[in-house]
Amino acid sequence: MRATFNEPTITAAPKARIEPAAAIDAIHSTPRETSRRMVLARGAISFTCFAAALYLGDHWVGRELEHLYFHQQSGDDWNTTETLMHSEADIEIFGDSRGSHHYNPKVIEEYLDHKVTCHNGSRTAQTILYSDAVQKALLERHKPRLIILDLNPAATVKLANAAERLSVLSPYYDDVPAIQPILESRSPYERFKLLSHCYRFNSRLPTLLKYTLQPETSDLKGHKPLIGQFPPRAFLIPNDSPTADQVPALIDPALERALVSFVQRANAAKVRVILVSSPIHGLSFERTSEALALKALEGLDFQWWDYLEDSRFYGHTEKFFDRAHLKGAAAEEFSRIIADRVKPVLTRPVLAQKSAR
Amino acid sequence: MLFNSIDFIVFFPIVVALFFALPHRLRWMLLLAASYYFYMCWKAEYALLILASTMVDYYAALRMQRSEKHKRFYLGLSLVSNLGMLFGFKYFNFFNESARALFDQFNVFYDVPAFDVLLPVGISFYTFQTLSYTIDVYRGKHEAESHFGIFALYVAFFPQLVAGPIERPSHLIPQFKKKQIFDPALAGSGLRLMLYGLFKKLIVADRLSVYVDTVYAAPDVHSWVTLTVATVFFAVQIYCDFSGYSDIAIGASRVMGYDLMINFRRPYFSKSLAEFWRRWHISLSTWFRDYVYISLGGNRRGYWRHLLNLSAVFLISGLWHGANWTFVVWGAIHGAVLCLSILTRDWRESLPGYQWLSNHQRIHHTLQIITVFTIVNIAWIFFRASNVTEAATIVSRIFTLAGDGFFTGDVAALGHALFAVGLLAGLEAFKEWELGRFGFDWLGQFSIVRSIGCAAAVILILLLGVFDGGQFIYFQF
Repeated sequence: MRATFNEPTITAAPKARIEPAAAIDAIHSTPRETSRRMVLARGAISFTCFAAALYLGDHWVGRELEHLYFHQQSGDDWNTTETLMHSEADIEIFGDSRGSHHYNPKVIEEYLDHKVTCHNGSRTAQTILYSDAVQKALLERHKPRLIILDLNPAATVKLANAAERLSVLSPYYDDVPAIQPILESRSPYERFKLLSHCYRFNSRLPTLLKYTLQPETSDLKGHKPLIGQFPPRAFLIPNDSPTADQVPALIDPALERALVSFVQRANAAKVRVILVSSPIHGLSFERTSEALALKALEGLDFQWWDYLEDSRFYGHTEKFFDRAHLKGAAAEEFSRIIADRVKPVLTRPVLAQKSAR
Repeated sequence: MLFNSIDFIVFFPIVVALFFALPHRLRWMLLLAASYYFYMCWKAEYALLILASTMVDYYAALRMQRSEKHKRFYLGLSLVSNLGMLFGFKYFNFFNESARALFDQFNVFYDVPAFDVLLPVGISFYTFQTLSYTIDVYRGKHEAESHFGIFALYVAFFPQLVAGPIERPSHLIPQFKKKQIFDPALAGSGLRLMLYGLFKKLIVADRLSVYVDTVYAAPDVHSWVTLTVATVFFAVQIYCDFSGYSDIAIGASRVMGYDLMINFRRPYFSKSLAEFWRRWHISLSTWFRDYVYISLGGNRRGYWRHLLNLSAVFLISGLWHGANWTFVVWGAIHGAVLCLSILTRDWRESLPGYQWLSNHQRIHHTLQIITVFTIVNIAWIFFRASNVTEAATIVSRIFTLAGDGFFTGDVAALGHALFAVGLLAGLEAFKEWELGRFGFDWLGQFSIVRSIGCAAAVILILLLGVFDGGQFIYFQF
C-alpha cells in the first residue's frame, strides 16, 4: 500500500526536471510535429535494432564459422592453417597448383631416410603473392632448413584478380599479424571490410561444409596427387599465347616484387632457398617470362633447378594430367629426383649457395 | 561509380544527408552535382555528352512550345542530335564493319576507318529518357520545362542515369519540384529494396557469371547438358544483374522521397511472351510501345501491319541492346514468336487438348510458364554468345544432345551458384504467389522483425557475395 501511495511522487519528479526550452517546445508543438517526432523516433529505434542485430549476428555467425574453420582436418584451408600456424618442417615447399601437385613430402622424407621433415604449403589457384604472404608469416614463427619455391614459368605474368585471390587468408586476419598489412593493401576499404567476422569467411562456406562433413582421410602433408587425365585438348598450347616480344608488357610488377621479396626474406632469415622449374608437357611463351623473373632476382642468394624441359617428363603425355600438371605417380618420380638433389644441399653451409642451374 | 562498390556506400549517405539538410530550393543543385560526379567517376569527359544532349533538348522543347510552326523542325533537331550521338558512339563501327563484310563479298574496295572510341556508359538510357521528353512536349503531353537545372537533373538523375529505369518527364520532373520530407518508413523501404538489389547482384548474378563465362568461353567443347545449364544460369544471371540494378536505383530514389517506375515484375513467371514483355524491362517496353509502336500505327492499321509493327519494334529493341547481329537475332526471335502466337491463336484454341487444359488451370499455367521460359532461354543464347555462328553452334549442340558428361568447374563455385538460384527462386515464388499471407506479412509489420531480417540479409551478402564481380551487364548497352 505504501509503495502505491508513493508512486505519484516518483513519477512526478522527472517531469519537474524538464528543461524550460524543451517545455516551451512541447507546449508549442502541433500534433503533426508530435507525430512526425514519433515517426522519427520509430525510425531511429528500427535503425538501432538493425545495427545491433547486425553486430551481434556478424559476431556470432563469424565466431561459429571460425570454430568450424580451424577445426578442419583436411582440405586447402586446413593446409594453409598448417603452414601458417603449425608447420615446423625442415623443408617447406611453396607454390601454386603445380607446387601442390608436383611435390610429395612423404616421398621426399622417405628418400631422405626420415632424417628431415617436409611439408608442402602450396595452394591451388594462388600466385606468388600467396607464397610471399605465407612465407612471411611462417618465417616469423619458424625457420625451416630449406625452402623450395616451385617457380611457375608464368609466375610474374599478369593474372586476373591476382590480389583478390589472397582473400583465402582473411580468416587469419586476427591470428596471424604478419598477413594483416598484406590483406589490407588489397583495397583502400579492405581494413573496414575485415572488421566483419563474416566477411573473413566470404565464399568459404561450401568448402568449409564439405571438409567438415566429409574430411579426407589420407594425410599427404599438403600434397594433392592428380589421378586420371584430361581430354587431349587440355594438352594443346593455346592459340592466343603471346610472342616473346609481347611478354615484357605482360609482366605484373606486383608479382615480380613478391618474388623478389620472397627470396630476399629467406636470405635475410638465413634460410636456403631453391627455385624449381618443375616439368611441363609443352612450352609456349613461358621461358621468356621465366627468364625475366630470374633476371629480377639477380644478386640474390638462391639456387635455380631447371626441370621444365627435362627429357624424363617433357612431352610424355602419359605422365601428365594436363599440359601443366603431373599425375600423382609422375609427381612421386619427380619428388625422388628433387630429394636426391636436396640431400647434399642440406649438409652445406647456408651462405654457400650460388645461383646455378 | 558502381552501386556495388564501397565508393557508393560512402557517396550515397553523404548525398542523402546533405539533401535533407539543404533547403528545398537548393536540393536540385546538390542532386545535379552529385549526378555528374557519379557519372564522371567513370570517364569525366563523357559527361559533356550528357550536357550537350541536355542543352539541345532543353532548347528544342522551349522552342517547340513557343512556336507551333517550327515544332517539327525542333523535334527533328532533338531526334537527329540524340540518335546521331547514339549512332556515332554505339553503332557506327557495327554498320561500318557490316558494310565492309558486304563489300568484301562482292570484291569491292571499302576503306572507311573504324571509329576508335569507348562506348559512353548509359548512353542508350539517357538518350531515350531525354527523347521521351522532347516527344512528349511535341505531342503536347508535357509542358516544356523552363528551369534548366531541373531539366538537367531529369536527364542525369544519378540513381537511374546509367541503366534506367527510363523515366518519363510527366512522372519524374514534378517530383523534383515537390519538397521532399524525410520519411523514415519510406527510407527504410528504399534501403530494404537496395539490399534486395545487392543480394540479387552480389549473391546470385555474380556467382552465376563464373560458371556461365567459363562455359560460354568455349561452347564447342561442352556437352548439351552443360550448355543448357549455363544458358539457364545466364537467364537468372541477367535477370538478377539488371533487376538488381533497378531495385537499387528505385530504392536509392525512394530514400530521398522520389518514386521511380517499376522495371521488373518477376518475368520468368510469365504465361505468354506478351506477358513477359509486360514484366521484363518495363520502362523500355513501354518506351517502345509509346514512342515507336504507336507511332508506327500499332494495331490500328490492319492485321498484317500490326504484325509488321511488332516485328519492327522487336528488331529495333534488339539493336538497342547492342551493336551486334546477335542482339538483332535475339530481338527477331522475340518478334517472330510473338507474331506466331498471334497468328496461331485460333488454331491453338481449337486443338483437342486445349479445353481440357483450360479446365486444369494449374497444369495449364505451369506448361505455359515452362514454354515461355524455354523460348526466352533460346533467345538468351543469342544474347550471350559472341557471334551468331557461336550461338548457332550452342543451339545445335543442345538440340542434337551433343557431347557427354557435365562440366562442374569449381565445385564450390557451382555449389554457391545452385544455392543462390534456389534462394532466389524461393524468394520470387514467395512474392509471386503471395505466400506472405500465411503469417509472414503480419510478422513483417513489426519493425524489429524487419530489422533482424535486414541484418540477416547483410550477413548473407558478407558471407556469399562476390565483392570483385565488376560492373553490371546493362552498362554496356
